[in-house]
Amino acid sequence: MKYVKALLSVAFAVFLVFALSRPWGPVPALGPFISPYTGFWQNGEAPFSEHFGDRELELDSLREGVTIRFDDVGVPHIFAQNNYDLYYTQGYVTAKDRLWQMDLQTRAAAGRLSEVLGSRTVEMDRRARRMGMGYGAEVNLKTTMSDPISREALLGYTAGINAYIDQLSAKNVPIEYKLLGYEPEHWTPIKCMYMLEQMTLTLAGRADDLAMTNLLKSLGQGTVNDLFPDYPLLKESPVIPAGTPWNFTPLPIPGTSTKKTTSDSTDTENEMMPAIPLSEPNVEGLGSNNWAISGAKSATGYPILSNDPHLELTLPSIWYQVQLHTPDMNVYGVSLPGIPGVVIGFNQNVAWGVTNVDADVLDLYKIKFRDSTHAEYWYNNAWRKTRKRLEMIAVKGSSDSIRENVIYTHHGPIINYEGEKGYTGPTLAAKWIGHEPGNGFRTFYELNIARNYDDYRKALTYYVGPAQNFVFADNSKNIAITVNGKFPLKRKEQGKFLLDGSNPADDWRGWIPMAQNPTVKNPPRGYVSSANQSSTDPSYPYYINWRFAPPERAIRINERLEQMTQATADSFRVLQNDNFSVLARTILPTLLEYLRTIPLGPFQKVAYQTLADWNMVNSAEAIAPSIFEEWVVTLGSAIWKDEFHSDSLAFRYPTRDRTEYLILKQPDARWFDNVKTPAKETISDIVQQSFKAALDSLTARHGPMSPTWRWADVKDTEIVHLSRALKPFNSKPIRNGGGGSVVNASTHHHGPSWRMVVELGPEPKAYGLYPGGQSGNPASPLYMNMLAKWEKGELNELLFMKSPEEKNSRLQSTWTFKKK
Amino acid sequence: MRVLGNYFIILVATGLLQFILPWWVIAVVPFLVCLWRSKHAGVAYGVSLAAVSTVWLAYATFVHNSTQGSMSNRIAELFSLPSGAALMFSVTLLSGLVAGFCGLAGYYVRQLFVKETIVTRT
Repeated sequence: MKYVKALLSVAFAVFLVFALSRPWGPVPALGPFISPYTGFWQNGEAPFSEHFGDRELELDSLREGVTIRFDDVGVPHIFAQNNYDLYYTQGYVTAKDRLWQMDLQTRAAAGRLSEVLGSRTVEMDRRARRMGMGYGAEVNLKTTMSDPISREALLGYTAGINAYIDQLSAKNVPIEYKLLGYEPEHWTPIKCMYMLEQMTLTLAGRADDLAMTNLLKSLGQGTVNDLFPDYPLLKESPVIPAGTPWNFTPLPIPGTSTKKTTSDSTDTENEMMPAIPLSEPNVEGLGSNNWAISGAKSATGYPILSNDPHLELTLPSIWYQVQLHTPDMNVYGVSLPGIPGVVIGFNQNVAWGVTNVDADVLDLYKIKFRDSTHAEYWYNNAWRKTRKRLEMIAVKGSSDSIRENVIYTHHGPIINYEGEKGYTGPTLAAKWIGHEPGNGFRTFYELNIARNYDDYRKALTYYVGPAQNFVFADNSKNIAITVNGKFPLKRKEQGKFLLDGSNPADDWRGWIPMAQNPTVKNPPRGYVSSANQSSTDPSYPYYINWRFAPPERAIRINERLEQMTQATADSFRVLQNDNFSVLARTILPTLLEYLRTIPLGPFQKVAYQTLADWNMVNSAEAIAPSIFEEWVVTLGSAIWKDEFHSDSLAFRYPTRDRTEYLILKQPDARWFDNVKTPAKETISDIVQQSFKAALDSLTARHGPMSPTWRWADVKDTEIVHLSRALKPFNSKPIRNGGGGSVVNASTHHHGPSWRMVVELGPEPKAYGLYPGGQSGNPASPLYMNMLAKWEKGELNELLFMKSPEEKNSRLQSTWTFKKK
Repeated sequence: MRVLGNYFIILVATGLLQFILPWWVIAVVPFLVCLWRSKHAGVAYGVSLAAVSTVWLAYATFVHNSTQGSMSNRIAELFSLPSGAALMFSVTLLSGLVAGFCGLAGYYVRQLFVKETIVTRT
């Protein structure tokens, strides 16, 4: 009997310990997680943070000493004697604040999420592998490491991150590792490249090709030309001011003489293209603004520059503020955790910023394999060999890795195979700028140390992608903007539709010379700007894309800049937060006309009057923008959905500009008729029905019209933790104005991810913040300490230090790194 | 006295060893202590539970208070618990149960080696 008791009690005790030592579904191994010695408790931070204490550390591999001063918002100001130590320290402090973010983002890029998250992310990982993210990272690493300056930076940055990881004890690892039950792994230089690949994928990883091909098949060339023109019909205000002369002799475009109609490759077979993830339409709100004015327009007589990149708003923020100082450099701005240097910022002499160029640098090619071995594909009337790259996807909880043989053609990797499960289209290869070797780091390094316009121009030559509008201003009172990146030399509309992978005429055949990228310096109008709109007017001799972001933000920015005189940093701050809707100004009066003539219910009358009285500002408290924004979306669907949508096939609506043109200039167009109903609808039917439907939909979601319809509540901007699953780590609901088509582009989950204003001058004065904080620890007082000001549209003054000994009441603590 | 002695041995040993060893110290120490010197099943269970609960409750309270619940309150929310205090209570209870059952196992294993007479002598 006593043996039974002993056995049973020991068995139960062992079972208890075992059960608490392993994860159960999403619940982490509870034993270590809940222990006050090692568990989540230890991630707590007092309001008086650890940042606010002096420290002295002895570190391996430093060459000389480093001083870090932390200011009151937790920004590190790093003073080093050489570049290696500088980037070492940047790596160390970035890891201190953002280690898990760096890990997650590089894992996502490398297709290694399943290794820590299990089988639910396998498809995502497979997509990353097939997209050739690893291939792109490797070719970029090779280029970057062959440059001594970049090599030193990457190695220093890597060593610094690893020095931080090596001193971490179990209790100090970031909370996300504890929750997900895995350990930090060492950093390697290629992870920096994965971060760049991830940015390229975010900003230049979508393709309309399949949707446009389907439209061509179902509507014909004439209609496609009419509804999907290569330049906005109604309004545009291009990045490079219209009329700017092109001071170069353009290259001939190869393949133009042998041009075949774009539909050759697909017309023979009547197959329609399925929707795939990278054919999903762009998210509005994924874009950015930047601008600069000349000294003639400013109060100080020196240029002022502004930049607010709009990205997915997450906690921790995508950006990390830092000041980097060596005897040869003194730069302040934001970095991307995982990449050394400053991406957007300023120094003593210059300031710069970036917005995305919507260039078509991802093209899909239809591929014909000889047989199921995928060893050869048809190209230029012969069979050509493919290359295989074996990718192993490790999956947590499974002892076997998934083997994925990614097949490479000379265009690029195969992303989908004809006949594979869950996919009904042809075999597709992706030709993508992310596979081109480049040295993005060097561009930013050169900007970090730039002293003048020539340095800026030199810096841009290193850049490949994702193409950006680089705005610039300097102390010599120059302003400039360059549409910069490596752009394929294409015939017009090449890549607007699916390309033929067997036809050499469809290849990318060379590049637009970097010196011929659209650029303007000190234009007569006294300002430069960009908001992801068309890069140039149609006079530019090269084809960059057929569509860009809708022009409303750009139009508003340029109107305001045009009028600005004696401008200050605060004028720029106000413009960053401008909520005026150019879209409403353009179409609302016309839309309301159609409502005037019909009987409306009492509730609809109130809504009508609300819109009629509206000042067209998307302010937080107003109800009109909630109605208008809902109505515009409903109206778009009412016009186009019947013929331009399918649940399973790739389709897209015409652009917003084309839709507005239709409403204003072509009220009799047949597109207003809903072909799915027997009746023949007119524009006025569609406008009226969509108005009522929009009101019904708002009522269904927010109850009867009341203050709950306030724009801030309906828009419901929210800043979510990167995991997208850990709700207690999200921000509280944000109650600000804005909208996808206004300058202050904050939407539900996207918006200004960093707002910066720099007044150039003998001493630069700069302001900025992001909707978050320096620390990635949800328990830190620095996790979202800038959020309240961001919500109100205020900015922090940025502390630009000159020496490590500087005295300033905002400086809180000093860390000293010594060589061991 | 032995009861109090066991309580303090477990308390001090688990309290200190957890700074250098993993969490399962709270299982192993009560087991070993009760294997070494326990007399009653119920007491072995109770003493182990009480000692380890004391350690975890004390340390968790200290960390919770000194960080003003900045992480514990969020984790409580994640586990759908009403507050950081409720989380502290649940965690403490769980640690106590582990320790209690391990202490009990220690006692029963001890019975395999110890003569009846020694066990019943007071």
